Amino acid sequence: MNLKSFSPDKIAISGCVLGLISLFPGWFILKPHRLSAGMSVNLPDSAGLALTILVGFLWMSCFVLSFAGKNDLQHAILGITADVILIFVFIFLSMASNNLDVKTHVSARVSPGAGFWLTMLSAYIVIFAAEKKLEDRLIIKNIITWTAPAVFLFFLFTRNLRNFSVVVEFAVQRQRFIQEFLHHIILVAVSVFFGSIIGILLGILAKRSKKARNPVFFITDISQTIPSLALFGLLIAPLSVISFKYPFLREIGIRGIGNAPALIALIIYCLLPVVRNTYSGLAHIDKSVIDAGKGMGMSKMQVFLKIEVPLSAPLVLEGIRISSVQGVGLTAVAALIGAGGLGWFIFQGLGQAAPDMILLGTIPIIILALFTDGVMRMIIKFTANKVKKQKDHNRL
Amino acid sequence: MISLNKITKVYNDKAVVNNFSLEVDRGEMCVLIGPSGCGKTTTLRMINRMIEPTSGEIFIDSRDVKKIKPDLLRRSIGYAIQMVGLFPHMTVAANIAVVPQLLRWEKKKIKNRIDELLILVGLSPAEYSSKYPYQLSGGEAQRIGVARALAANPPILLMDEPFGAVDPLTRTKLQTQFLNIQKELHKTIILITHDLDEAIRMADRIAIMKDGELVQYDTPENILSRPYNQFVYKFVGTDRALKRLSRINISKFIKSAPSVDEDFSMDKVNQACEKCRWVWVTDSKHRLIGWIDRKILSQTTSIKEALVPVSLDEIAVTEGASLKEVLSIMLSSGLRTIPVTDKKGFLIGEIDMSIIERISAESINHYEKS
Repeated sequence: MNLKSFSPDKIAISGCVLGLISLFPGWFILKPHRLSAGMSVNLPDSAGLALTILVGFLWMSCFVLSFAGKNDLQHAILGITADVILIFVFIFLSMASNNLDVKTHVSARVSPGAGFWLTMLSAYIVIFAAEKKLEDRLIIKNIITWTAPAVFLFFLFTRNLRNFSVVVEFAVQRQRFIQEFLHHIILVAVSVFFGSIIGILLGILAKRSKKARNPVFFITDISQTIPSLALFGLLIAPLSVISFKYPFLREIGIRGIGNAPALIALIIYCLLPVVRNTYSGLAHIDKSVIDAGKGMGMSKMQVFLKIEVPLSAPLVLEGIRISSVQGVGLTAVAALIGAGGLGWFIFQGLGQAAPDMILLGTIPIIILALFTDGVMRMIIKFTANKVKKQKDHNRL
Repeated sequence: MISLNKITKVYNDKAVVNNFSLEVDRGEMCVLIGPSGCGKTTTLRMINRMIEPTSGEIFIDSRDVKKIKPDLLRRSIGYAIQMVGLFPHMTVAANIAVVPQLLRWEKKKIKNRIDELLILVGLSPAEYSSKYPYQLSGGEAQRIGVARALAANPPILLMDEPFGAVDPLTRTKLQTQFLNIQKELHKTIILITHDLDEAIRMADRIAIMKDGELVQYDTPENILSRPYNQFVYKFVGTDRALKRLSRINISKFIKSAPSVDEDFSMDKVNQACEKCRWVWVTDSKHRLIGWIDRKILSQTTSIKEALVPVSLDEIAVTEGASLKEVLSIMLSSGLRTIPVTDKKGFLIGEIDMSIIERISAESINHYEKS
């Protein structure tokens, strides 16, 4: 083998090592109900020795593949192998779920244990490493990303996971879950929508006026450094005061707690990436291009619409992507000030020391974030196609 | 006609362009040249109101540009810059179509115009229309830049180092091509360059600027032979004699050349050689193939034996050449007299070094007198 092509992927290797280790700790915790401590079960006891060895073998193959060269096919196989491991994890989960004797306890459940979580983590480390190497092979990357969640959803909808603790929790709180899930999405969508509009306008302002630039960046930078919990809290006092002074505000739902402070805080967090990216999107347009546009007789509006907007669009969308993904996570905190959303389950679960309920909030948030990220990346890829190579040819 | 009347532009209390007046006649190419920072780009950009002058007036065809809306003014003036500034998100065709679209031309007319312009700048419409700027070489991009400036057929072109960002070989090609285009289109052009050879080659008149002021405005010949002051004299440089030769076409100086056909009998050749030291030899189609020296003739029995074959590239010049090229070939071939052919190699005449000596002497005398 040529030495140059021999480039071990450190991230993938550490993922594989962690994956092998993760076969040993307890995988599942069987509980009669939400609050009991439960009984820890090892993987060989739960899924059988043969399947455990098979997964171990898969980790070993990943390990070997991590030493592969710069061959896209090998990276793709690495990612798919990690996917297969994830599928096995879900099979084990459904097996454990199906084997559980529910007759004795109606709310008996299987909670995932340390081994389960570690394996998930390791598999995603390997997938991350593989996708990083695959760069712009968008199709295969999407296949690798979405196979495991799809299989999970398949098991979920075929009721194979009905005793999985999160599903049990869901079954108990179905109404509430749907309500909070939709609420979460609405909070994110509304805040990203208004945050993007304000952010884009501020970004344009920062580019156009040198006087405005520093104050705009100062405020957006500072706002980003305030911890989210603090910002939500900080808004309670002024909003309460204002809403008590002007009762009509209370009537339209603006109060110290609830949606109003949550949306304001989320919009503020949304600003920085959008403002920064709009500014750099505009600032990076080759001056000669603008000059040529003006010189040929385009009006200011035409220069803006025909040159500046299309050329800065990929970077602006990138800012919106960062804001949206970040927003999905931040909205979880909004539940603390009574705005609802999936965070409600997390804080209820924390309060009641019920990890299954925390998961009921956390897992959909992660899936939502991944989904938002994927969709936005596709949109960006589509708009950026033509402008992609602009940078290499700035000198023209 | 473009007329700049006592234009001044002040930035931070410093006059970048100072009391500058210039007239460019219709169909003429005026080249603005000067050291960097002399205000040539500022001057150019004031004409299409990209920059507004502090004082002074600019007229285009006797209309004060201040009275025309900037956008409308610019649509009627072609504008090409060194960085080209092609829109990276638009195809070549869309780039060229910008001004026609601003002027609301019909789609079909625009399409035809794009093809016409691409052919004019020597690029195939089928191949280039749908390319993006990042797929073009530097020279191609600059040609598209010129095509885009010409798109709406404006009577005036403003060009800021339009052939600046390419290698010397490509630049010469682009210059030649642009001169041919200009011969056809007769635009009124103001072109900025920092390359004196380019100025001398292209210009009908050269305007030399220094510190925002016009130093000399004259034909290239006169700039070279009668520099107005020490600055111009130095700016033109010590090779002004050579530069002047590059402006002079050989056509006036071609003498008829003694020649024989390769099928001629030895007698005929001897006859032809009586009056001169050598004769050029051509083939049956009158294409130059070599020469015969009289001294060798006595020792040989056939033309083929006496013939010294030549490669046209090495010793001949074509009709359109300048005296500079003639001199260059004379020096490299060691001949004092070289043949002139047309593009296909047909012998037209010959040219002698004495011409170059005479013309160089004239220009030296001019400067010493003044």
